[in-house]
Amino acid sequence: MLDGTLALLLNVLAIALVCFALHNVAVSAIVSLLNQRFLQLQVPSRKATLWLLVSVPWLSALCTASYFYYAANNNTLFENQTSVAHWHHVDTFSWLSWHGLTLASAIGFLSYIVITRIATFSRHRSELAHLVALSERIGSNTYEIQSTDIAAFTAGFIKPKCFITQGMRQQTTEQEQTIILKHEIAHAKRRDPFKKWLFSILCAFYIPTISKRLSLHMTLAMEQEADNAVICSENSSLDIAGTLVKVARLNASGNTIKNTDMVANFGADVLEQRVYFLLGQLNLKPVNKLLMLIIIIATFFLCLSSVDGLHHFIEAVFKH
Amino acid sequence: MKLGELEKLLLHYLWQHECADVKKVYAYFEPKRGGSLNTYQSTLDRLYKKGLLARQKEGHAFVYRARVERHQLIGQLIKSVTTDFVGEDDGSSLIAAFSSMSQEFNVDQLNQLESLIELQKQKLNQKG
Repeated sequence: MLDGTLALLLNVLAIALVCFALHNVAVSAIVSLLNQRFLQLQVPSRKATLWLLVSVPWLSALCTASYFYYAANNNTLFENQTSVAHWHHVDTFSWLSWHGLTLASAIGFLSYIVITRIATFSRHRSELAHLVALSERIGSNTYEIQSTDIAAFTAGFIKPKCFITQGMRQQTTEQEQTIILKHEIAHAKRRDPFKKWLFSILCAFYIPTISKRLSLHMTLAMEQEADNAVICSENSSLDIAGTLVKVARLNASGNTIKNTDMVANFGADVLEQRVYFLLGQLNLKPVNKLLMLIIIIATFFLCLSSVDGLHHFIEAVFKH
Repeated sequence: MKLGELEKLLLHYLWQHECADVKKVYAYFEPKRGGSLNTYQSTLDRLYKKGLLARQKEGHAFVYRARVERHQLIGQLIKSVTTDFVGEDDGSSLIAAFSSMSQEFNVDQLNQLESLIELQKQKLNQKG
C-alpha cells in the first residue's frame, strides 16, 4: 500500500483514467447516433468537430485530474462529501487493487500504441525515401513513379511529397493530370498525411468501429477540402468531379466489385459525397457552436460528478 | 532508406544485367563516370546491406543480383506506402490519395455519378 504524494499522483491518474473511459463512451455514443449528421456539416466545421471529439477525452481527463489534484492539496476533497466530485481514499494507493490493475493496463496499452505508431512512422519514412529514390522528379516536390498502377497520392510527414504513377499519366488527359496534381499539392500544403497520422493515434483509443468511422469522416473532409482547392477559372467543379469518377473507374477496372458491407458502403459514399459536394448538391451547414459548447460542458460535469459514483459502483464488485 | 546516385545506377544495371561481380560493374561504369574499384565495391556492399541485392561467393569474388525486380519493388513500395498498420485504405491510411485505392466502387454507382455530371454540364451549356 502506497501513501503520500506518490499515492496522490497515482490516484489522480486513476481518476483521469476513469474520466477518459467515461468520455470515450460518451463520444462513441455521439458518433454512433450522429454518424450521418456529420455529413451535413460544412467541411471546416466538420473537421473542427472531429478533432474536438477525438481530443475531448484527453482534455477532460486532464481537467478532472487537475481539479482533483488541486482539491486534494487544499484538503477540500473530503470536507464536503456531497460536493460535485470527491474521492474517498485519495492519499492511499495499492497496485493490487482494481485501480492499480486498470492503471497498469492503461499504461501498457498507451505504451503499445505509442511504440507501434512510432515504428509505423519510422517504416513509412524509410519506404517513402526508397520510393522517392526510384521515382523521377517532375516538379518541386512532385514525383513520377514508373509503374503501370493507377495511383496519385501525397505522403510524408515533415515535407509531404506528391506522387503520380506513369500509368495514371498515360490514362488521363493533360487537364485531368493538372487537376490530380493540384489536388495532391493542396494535401501537401495542408500537411494532411501528418494530420491523418496524428488523428489515427487519437482514434486508436476508441473501439475499432468508432475509430474507423471517425477516420473515414476525417478522410472525406480532407478530400473535400483538397477538391475545393482545385476549383479555379481553368478547372470547374464539374471537371474535377468528372476526373474523380474517371480515376475511380480506372481503379476499379479489371477488379471484381465487391458487395458492400458497412465500411465499403461508406467508402463508396466518400466518392459520392465528394461528387455531390463538387456539384453543389449538398446543403451543408456550419456547426452550432453554442450547442457544441453546452454538450461538452454538460459531458464534462457529468463525468466529474460520476467519477466517484462509478468508483463506488465498481467497488461493489471488486475489492480495493 | 535513401539511395545515392551511384546506388541507383548500380541497381538499374543489375536489373538489366541480372548478375555481375564488382569487376564487371567497374568495367561498365568506369569509362562513363570514373571512380575506383573500391568505390563500386563499397556501393554494392551498401546495397546488399540495405537488402536490395543478394550475393553469392564465386571463386574469390561475390556475384551480386537484384533481390526483386524493379516493377515488383515499386509495386511493393506503393502498396506499403499507401496502406498502413490497420488495413488497406480504410480511411486511416497515412497518405492522402486522389481517389481511394480500395477498388470497392460499384459500377452502377459510377455510371450514375457520370450521368449526373453530364446532366449538370448540359444544364450549364443551356444556360450559357
